[in-house]
Amino acid sequence: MKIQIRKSDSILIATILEERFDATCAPDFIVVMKEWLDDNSVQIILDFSHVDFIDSTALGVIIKSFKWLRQADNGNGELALCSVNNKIMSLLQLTRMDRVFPIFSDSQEAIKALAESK
Amino acid sequence: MSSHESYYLQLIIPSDKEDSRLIGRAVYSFCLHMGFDDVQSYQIELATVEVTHNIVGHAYRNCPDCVIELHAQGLNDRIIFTIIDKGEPAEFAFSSCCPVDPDDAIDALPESSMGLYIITSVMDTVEYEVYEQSNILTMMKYLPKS
Repeated sequence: MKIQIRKSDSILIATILEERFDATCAPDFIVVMKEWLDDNSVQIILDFSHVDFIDSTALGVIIKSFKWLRQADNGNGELALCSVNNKIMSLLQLTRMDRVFPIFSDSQEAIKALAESK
Repeated sequence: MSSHESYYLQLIIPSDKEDSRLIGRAVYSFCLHMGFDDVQSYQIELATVEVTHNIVGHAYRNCPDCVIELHAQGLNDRIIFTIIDKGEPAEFAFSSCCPVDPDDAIDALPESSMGLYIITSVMDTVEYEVYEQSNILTMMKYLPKS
C-alpha cells in the first residue's frame, strides 16, 4: 500500500496514495498503523485527497486505528481524517461514522485543530 | 436513456477480493450511464463489492479457484443486479439497523460486519435464494426521478 508521510511537529500526516482503499490493501494499512504507534506517533491525520473509493473493510481498519489511538498516550492520542470526497463522506454518513471521526476539509485545518488540542 | 431502451452487463470473475475491483469499476460506469450521480453510483458499486467480498469470504471460504457471476440489467425506471455463486449457502440476516451508535463508547464501535447493512441501506430491495446449488442474490435500485 502506498502511503506518503510527513510530520508537522509531533503530528504525523499520512497521505494515502491509493485510488482504492479496500479489502485488498486494508491488511497492509493496519501493519503500517501499528508501526506508527510503536514509533510513538499518537496524533495522526489520514489525508484522503488521492482516495476515490473505500469499502467496509477499509472503514473497519480506520475504526480499529481510531480505537488504538484513543487508548494511546494515556487517552490523549488522536486520529483525524481530511480531504474526504463526497463519495467517501456518503459512506461515513451512512454508517454514522461522520459523527465519530474528526473530519477536516484539508490537512492544514486538521493540523491546526490537532495542534490546538494538545 | 430513452424510454424504449434497456441495457445489460454480464461479468464473470474469479473468487478473489482483488478481482471484485473489476466488478466495482464496471458497476460504477454502468450506474453513471443509467443516470445515477457519482455518489449514488459509488454507493451501488460499494454494495456490489460488499456482496462479492461476502461471497469470497463466506461462500467460497477464500478459495480463489471459483467464480462469481454478475448480471446487471438497466430498465426504464430501475437497475437490477443478480449475483450468483456456487459456494456454501449463506446464513445471514440483512439488517437495516445501523451497527454504529455514535453515542456508544469507542470500544463498542464495530470493526466489521457493516457490509450487509450497507447493502440493505443502499439498495431498494435485496433478495436471496438458493436454487439448484446456486446462491442467487438479487438487488434492485430505482433510478433517480429526473
